[in-house]
Amino acid sequence: MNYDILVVGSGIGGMESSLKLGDMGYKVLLVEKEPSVGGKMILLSKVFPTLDCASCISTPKMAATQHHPNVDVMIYSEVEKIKRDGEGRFKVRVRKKPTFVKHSLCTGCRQCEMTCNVAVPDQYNFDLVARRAAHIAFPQAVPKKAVIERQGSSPCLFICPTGVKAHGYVALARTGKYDEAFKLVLEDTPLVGSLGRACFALCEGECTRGSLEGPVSIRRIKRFIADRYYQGHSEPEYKAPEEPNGKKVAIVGSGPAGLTAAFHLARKGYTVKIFEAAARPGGMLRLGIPSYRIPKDVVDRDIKNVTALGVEIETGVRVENLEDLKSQGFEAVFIAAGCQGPAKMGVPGEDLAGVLYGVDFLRRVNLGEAVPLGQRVAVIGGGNVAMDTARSALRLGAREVHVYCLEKEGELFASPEEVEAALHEGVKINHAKGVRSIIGDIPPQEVCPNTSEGTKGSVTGLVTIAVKSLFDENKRFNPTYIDGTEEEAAIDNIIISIGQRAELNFIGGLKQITGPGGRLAVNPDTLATPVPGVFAGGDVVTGPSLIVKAGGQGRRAAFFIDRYLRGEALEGAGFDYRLPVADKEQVIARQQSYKTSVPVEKKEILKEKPADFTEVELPLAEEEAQYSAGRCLDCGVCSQCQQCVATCPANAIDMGMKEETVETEVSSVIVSTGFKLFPADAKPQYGYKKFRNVITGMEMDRLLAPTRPYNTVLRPGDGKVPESIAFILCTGSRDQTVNNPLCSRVCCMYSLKHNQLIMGALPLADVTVYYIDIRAFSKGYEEFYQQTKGMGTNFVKGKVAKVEEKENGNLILHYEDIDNGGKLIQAEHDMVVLSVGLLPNREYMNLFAGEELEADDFFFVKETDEDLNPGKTSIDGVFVAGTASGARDIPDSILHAGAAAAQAAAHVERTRMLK
Amino acid sequence: MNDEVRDVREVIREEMLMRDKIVNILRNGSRTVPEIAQILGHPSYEVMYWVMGMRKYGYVSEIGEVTDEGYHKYKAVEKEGN
Amino acid sequence: MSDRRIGVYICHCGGNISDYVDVERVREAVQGEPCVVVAKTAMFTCSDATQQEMVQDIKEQNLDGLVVASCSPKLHLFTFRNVARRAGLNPYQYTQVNVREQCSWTHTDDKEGATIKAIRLIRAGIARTCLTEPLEPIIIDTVPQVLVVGGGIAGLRAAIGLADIGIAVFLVEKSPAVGGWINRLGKMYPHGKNGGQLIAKLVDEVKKRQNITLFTNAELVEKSGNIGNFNVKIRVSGQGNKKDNITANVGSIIIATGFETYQPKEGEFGYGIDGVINLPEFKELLDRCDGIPTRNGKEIKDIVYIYCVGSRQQPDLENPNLYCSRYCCNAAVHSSILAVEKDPKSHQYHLFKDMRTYGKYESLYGQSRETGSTYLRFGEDAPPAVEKCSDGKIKVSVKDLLTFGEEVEIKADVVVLVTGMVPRKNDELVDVLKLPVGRDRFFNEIHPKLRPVETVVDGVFICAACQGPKNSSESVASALSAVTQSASILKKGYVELEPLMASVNPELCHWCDVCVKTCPYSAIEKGEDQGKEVARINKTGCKGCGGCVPICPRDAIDLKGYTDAQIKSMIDGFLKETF
Repeated sequence: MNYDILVVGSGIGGMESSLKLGDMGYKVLLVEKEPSVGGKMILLSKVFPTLDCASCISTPKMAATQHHPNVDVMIYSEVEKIKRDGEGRFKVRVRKKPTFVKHSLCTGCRQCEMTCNVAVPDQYNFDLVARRAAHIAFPQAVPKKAVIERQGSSPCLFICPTGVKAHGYVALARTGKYDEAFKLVLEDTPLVGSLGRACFALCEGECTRGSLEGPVSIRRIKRFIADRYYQGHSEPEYKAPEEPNGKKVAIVGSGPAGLTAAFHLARKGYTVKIFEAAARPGGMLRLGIPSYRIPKDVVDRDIKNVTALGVEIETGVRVENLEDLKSQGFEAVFIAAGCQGPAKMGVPGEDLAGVLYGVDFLRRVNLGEAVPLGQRVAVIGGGNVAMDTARSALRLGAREVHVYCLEKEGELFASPEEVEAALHEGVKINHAKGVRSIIGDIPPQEVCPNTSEGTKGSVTGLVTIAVKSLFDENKRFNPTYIDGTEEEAAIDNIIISIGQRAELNFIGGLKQITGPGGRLAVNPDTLATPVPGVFAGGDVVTGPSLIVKAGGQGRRAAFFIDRYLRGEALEGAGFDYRLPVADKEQVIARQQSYKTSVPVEKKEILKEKPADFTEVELPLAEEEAQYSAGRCLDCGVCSQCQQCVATCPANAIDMGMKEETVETEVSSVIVSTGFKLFPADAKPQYGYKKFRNVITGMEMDRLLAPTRPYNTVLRPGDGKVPESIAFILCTGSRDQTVNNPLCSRVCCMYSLKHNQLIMGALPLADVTVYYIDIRAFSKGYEEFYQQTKGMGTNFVKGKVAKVEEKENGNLILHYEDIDNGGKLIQAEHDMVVLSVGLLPNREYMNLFAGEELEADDFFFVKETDEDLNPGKTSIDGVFVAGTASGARDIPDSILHAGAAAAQAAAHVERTRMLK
Repeated sequence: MNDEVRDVREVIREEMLMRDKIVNILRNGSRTVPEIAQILGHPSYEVMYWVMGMRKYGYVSEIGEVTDEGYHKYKAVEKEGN
Repeated sequence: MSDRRIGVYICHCGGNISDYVDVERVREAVQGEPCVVVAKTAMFTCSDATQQEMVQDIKEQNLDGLVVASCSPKLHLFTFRNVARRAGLNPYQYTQVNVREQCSWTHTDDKEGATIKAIRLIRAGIARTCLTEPLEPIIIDTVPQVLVVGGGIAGLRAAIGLADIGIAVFLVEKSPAVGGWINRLGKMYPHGKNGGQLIAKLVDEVKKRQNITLFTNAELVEKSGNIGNFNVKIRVSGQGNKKDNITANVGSIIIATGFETYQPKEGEFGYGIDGVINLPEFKELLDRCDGIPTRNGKEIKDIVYIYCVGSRQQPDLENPNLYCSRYCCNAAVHSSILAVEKDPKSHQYHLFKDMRTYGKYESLYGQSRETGSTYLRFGEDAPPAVEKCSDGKIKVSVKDLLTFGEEVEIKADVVVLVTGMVPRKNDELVDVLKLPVGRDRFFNEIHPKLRPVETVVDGVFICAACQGPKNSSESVASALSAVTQSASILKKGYVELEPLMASVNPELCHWCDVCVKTCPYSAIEKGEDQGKEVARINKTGCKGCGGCVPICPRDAIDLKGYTDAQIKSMIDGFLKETF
């Protein structure tokens, strides 16, 4: 739809122009970048000289603007470009920012705000108090609709393959909402307890706090909330859906991928059955990771999160042929069989008795089977499995455990923490050693490495050789060795932990689903195999990987299996939309300074030669968990804790909302982008931001407003009711030292207004005004000034040179007392108000393309013919209204906006005549 | 008034962390901002942000009378979920 | 009582009311009143959210009456009537009860009393609402023509502005030529434009537009009718004593009659001494001379400016001008800059109270100081003294507060009294239009922010300096604002008039014509009802003042919206003694 007139900015000037033009019958588009119309005036307490409340004047205009049949209001939107087209009209592009709340549904009840867990400074109260990430700008906002402030995805949750809302549960834990935090994690993964212990925590690697004192301990916070929840809830609080949708899905493998897929599918109403070859469910969680890292009862409890939904897990059954599943009534299959087969080394002696493989060894240990080991154990490999193997071997009683790895010190694949723990427990690591051969009590012969036929005797030792290089010139893994460095070591057992591979003995006739590397081939987006209804994910597709990655594949598979079974297209379905990641540099730059906040050190019980499988890592205490969560920087602002989504009675929250761009055409433009306040800290001698009891005039207006941040006028420093308040006029105006020689026109009068209101609110308080000239120049203003004097304000003609703070928060003003001989005098006050002036808001400078909207000498929009056409700018058809072209009080802004409207209307008429 | 002044954003962010602590303090009787500050071991201006944020969202309210030193006292507001 | 369904909303007004009136107690007291179905309080009843809530209540609860207890109807009567309208309720079944101006603000020292008074006021409002009936506004087609009174820069610009959006204009100027004060000016601040040239340009533009009719030597002498359709009579003086009366129909009237400059009294700051002149005289002198300014053949070397003459006067004077005249600081500073331009060796002494070079005009102040102007500040209690010296110079003595109260004496060639603006004498116009004036005796707007160019006379707008001191470009801005206001009414094509007017019960009326004589608007005439002579009310003439109602000896006249029955029920409401 096209319009006659575009009005940019909905302050009092913009509203006035829009309403009057709408009344005249012109079609008006009003664009406002904030979530409410009303500009700065609605934030004021009362307005001079009539002392009407700003709300009483503004809100009806705001409502009238919103409801006017000829005015369309776009809030939370920014004009990106205005460009003249060939016919004298302007093409306009407006960017509509997502509010993440469907405004057609939102009732303005504020429940989202009440439940939100992120506190940020409330810009509508000039940072005197907090607001929430989900918020309604202010109580009289029009429209009264909530907005969720999101500045991208927080890096922690953006990186998580499983889509766990790390920022969200950290924010909930920070507030003490541990159950909610647990449930939030459970939204995406049933494996809360396991991930709290053994997750590789990619999130911590991304944490913005990492560039300060170290990342937030996200994983340990998760463990804390899982432990706490499991202590109180030995069983899940939910049950299987009462009315399943009647469709059956089979899952092969009960590891992280299978469990996660089953969990999500069951929640959607599917009847899910998992087939597990091992005797116990859990896959690598149970079979791969030793109990001292994840106790088995934690795995059991995590699995209950899945089975409580009615998911059946049949253990000890190996699926022999996928095609059989179809005949059993399963309409879809998800293969998540993992990589259970050991990779072999292919060295002489590998088939000797006493040679074991890491995955097999750990599986047997974890299932509680007796695995007799000799005194000296060698573990081959440098990954986490090797470390698990070595540390498990120690716990089984081996006196010496030697790890032989190809990598140099510090370059192991295993995580440094694991390596360090292993060393601490007594594991010896031999770096840069390859295995040449394994020696047995029967002389080694050439044997086929991949067969285990026949027993050739038992291991007695190992021949190693020093590594020369690991990679060839193409950076491919291709180790070379230094001849002549062979060494022999006496060894009783060798456990080979150099990798795993998939075992695809179940695919039956479906050969087409196999892919490179002996794994399954799938569409990486949908996880669908070429066989309809057969999906695969986890290690069996990706190769050995992280628990969260496998879980992520499970969640993805569930999403697409659901679509498949509902007959919906798989491609382009947009699974797991996330906002672009928040810019860490911007996050850091949001704050001027950071207090040092060191992470809670990780605590582990690490004994030398541990004898049992007791969990080594100690949990965070509640105090530590909260402290750790408190270190979070709220990168994306909204933490995605989902509390608002759950709370909203109107179901109005839509976290997937996207930005929109609207293009339209107008005949004329009114720029009413308003002003910026002078930043009071640019006068450092007055101590703003340094001394808490020094505030600005705008802040005083807020303190006096009915929707004020405090219960009354109080000192921000300590909440004291001030007894003596000083106003320093001309802060940042008429001041060459801050490059603003202009008078701001409103500060004298608003300060006088404050004087009168303070005398009403705090009858006992003394008010002193330090001024140069009192500029009460407009209708009724001088009378207002005299009235203020009569009420008892103490006027001191004097320039304040500097402000100092006393220990008790009081302030000492040093000033030149002009009326009394110009002496330098000091005075003490409880509180100081800096009557800051108005500066140009230069945002208008980027509005126009192809033509320049000229600025005056002071960077306000230039009025090119102020004498006869006030509001006319350098661009034909573009007008300026209100403070965008210079400081003005409200009545003058309204008149000026009326003038702009008259000329815009005339311009529209001229344009019509041309057609 | 003596400690180094922290960034507003950081202080305000910590309201979530301090909320339960402050409510617990006030459950044992109403207090002024400087009194809460002393118990928490944080500067008064930080406590102002927290208490006023909590006041805005209905966790605390003033009791109406002002102490001789000129401070309002705040009490915990018992509400669902507190 | 009746089976009406009424919603009552009581406003906190963000503390303006609730700080003194216990609104919750008020709500409890009135929620049991007969017919009250909904009784609620709100922080701001005028906010969009509460408005929406009311609309919803009206629809869902099927309300047929609405009462809002808040501020003065002057502020928000139309706001809430529109709420009713949006909800499908007849707007005249809405009653606004003023519990702010008439209650909380007046009884800040007595909360209990204020609360009880609020309850009484609201009960009366409810009682009135119970007896409301749906009324329809009277629709009048508007005439797309405007009368602009005053041909100064504001009137000229307003005429052009109206013409450009398709509204015909009658422009009436009292004097023989248009242009007003600005026409006499040379270089003006802040852009250095020439006043006469600006006016010439506007006159050119006026001539180009066929839909502007200009009358000079003309005055508005009569006005009747209503907003949207006034009948006006313009008296044009021709050559000799010939006078023509021209009548016209216009939809609205814009008053741009400007100001007079303050005329100092004999002896006021030495006025009357040769060489003591006022600001416009000095400006004229500067504009006139090309080289070094001279007066009576003598070069002017030392100039003293005394500020705030006729403005910001002490309250103990007779009819003091308490207001600030806004333009004069800037104008005087600008004049001194021009004086220095013409004679860089001249000396400028400014004797001021507060230097009010507001906004961007601050640059003028800076510029004048850079070019050598000296500023001396005098206190209210020690105004400068001006004496004639024997050598023809003028001695000005002043105690300068900027130099620690030093007594300074200046010998000046010229003393410029920086005179302010005063309202123009416009008695006839005020009489014709019933225009309201404020405390400062300038014309008064309804509200400086909500309705800045409107007056209490619907359809009559004011702008520029007749409303209060303004400089030229500010006057033009306000003139264009009046254009916008006129157009926002006239471009719609119709206006709605209040149906709250007298009505005659023909059965009771015996046509005694007492009412005719009492009506100030001549809106009652003889009519006929079933062959009987009765009084008849002229709908567009009646203003609903109610003057005829008590006069009627047979109680045959009632005022719609304020019927006798309603007034009685309101009194009963007031007097109820349960709280």
